Amino acid sequence: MSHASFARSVAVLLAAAWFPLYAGAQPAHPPVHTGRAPAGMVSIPGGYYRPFYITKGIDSVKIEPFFMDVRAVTNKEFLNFVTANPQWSRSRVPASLAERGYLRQWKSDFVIGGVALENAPVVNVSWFAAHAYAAWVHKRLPTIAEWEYAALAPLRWAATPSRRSGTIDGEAKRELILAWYARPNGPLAPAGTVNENAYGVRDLFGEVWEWTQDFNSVIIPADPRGEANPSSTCGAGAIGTIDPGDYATFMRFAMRNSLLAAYTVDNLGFRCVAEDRN
Amino acid sequence: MKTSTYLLIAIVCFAVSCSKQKPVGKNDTAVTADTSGTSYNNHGSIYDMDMPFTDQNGKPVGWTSLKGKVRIMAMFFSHCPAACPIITEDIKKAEALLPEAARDSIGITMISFDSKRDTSARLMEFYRAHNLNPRWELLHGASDDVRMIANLLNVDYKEWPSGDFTHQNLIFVVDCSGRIALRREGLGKDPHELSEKVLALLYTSNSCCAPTPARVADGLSAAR
Repeated sequence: MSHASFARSVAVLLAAAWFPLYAGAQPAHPPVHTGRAPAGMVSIPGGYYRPFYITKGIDSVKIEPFFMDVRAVTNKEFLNFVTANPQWSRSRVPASLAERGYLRQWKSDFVIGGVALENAPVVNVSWFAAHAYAAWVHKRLPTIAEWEYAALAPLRWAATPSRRSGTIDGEAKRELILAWYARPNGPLAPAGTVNENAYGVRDLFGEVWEWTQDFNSVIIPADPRGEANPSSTCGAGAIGTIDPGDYATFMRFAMRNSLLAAYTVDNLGFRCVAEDRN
Repeated sequence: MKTSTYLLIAIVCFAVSCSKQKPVGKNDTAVTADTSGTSYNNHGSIYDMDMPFTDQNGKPVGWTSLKGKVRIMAMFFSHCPAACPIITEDIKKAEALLPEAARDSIGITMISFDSKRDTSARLMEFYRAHNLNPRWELLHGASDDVRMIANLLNVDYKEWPSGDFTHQNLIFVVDCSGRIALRREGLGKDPHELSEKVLALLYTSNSCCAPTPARVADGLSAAR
């Protein structure tokens, strides 16, 4: 088995589990305050993000206010892009930009094949393809810091007959995310129906993993078993993680670290962000 | 119990991330020839995207204009205190091992991570400080375009608020059509590995670097 396919299958195995966290219960979303955000996006206020991997002397990263897509990009939306840019169709995309398996859930180059699939998040897209889509809609991919910052917000817990609506945060949120990471693959829910958070962003957890603009900036410290070549990276300081107990975040960084830009993965999609210029 | 399961998963994940650093792994996607798929274009080339760059002379260089020559490539930044000067010296050693005709037919391309500080003038200083020659092109461009190159070459890097970069130390040998023939990680390794790969591409390749009689003769004498 080639290394790439091994890495991918492990990533698939780990990433697995895309049942919505609350299977069956479609949350009754409260109205979202979108502010000045364009349609389909919400405002994320600026602030400070404490990076998961830190280097000496760097406490936090300033996040400028930005707009984030409410939900992951769907197959249908991606088809619009492919139709307008046929160089990104399955049979024409070069191997350097998307590996085998690109859009393999589709019936053919320009046919998705199924209404449920149309509204599900698009997966099996490479970073190059996601990046090109984002540019096409005049947006961009979020940075890791932006994605993680938006994902810090508590999740909104929809009302069910047995409990009132509320939010879920802290350890309980972590446990929920980990439980989702550990569950085997399942059919994807329609994009925008899973786990809204306090900003009104949905699907960050419980649907698909998502590409980030700078996914290749995850540089995990050298292998403690001593296999890695100590001269293989040029370091700007000691790198460590601030919270070794935060496995959920650790897994996301490990996942990003395992990716190459041409990879296509069954449960890896994306969403876009845009600058908030005011 | 539950926590230890997660930990195990995390460790597996981590092992994957570590093993990725082995050259073969990262290379797979870019260079593996696939002959089975009919609905899949398998001519993967780093020149499948085009981006504008500028060299140390201030001359614009389109990325795809680099096509057509065997190239030694690396990513670097001129303020890099330790690693990048070594990468540069490693490439110079390999260059020196090549017979003259071979040397004259290749290009050496270094792409800067540092879109803010590495201007053409700054790259010219680096060029002079390292006593380089016109075979060397030191390129700078917009950060989004640099990221595209890093992803075409599969180079991990991170910019810090200080403006410095953490990056993998990689040297590539790329054929005329943009296929990565060698991806070598590390510093101060045997330069013969690079020069021999260049010679192999120049004298045995059946791609756009098809050998000419002169090249073959030169290659044979180099091999002796």
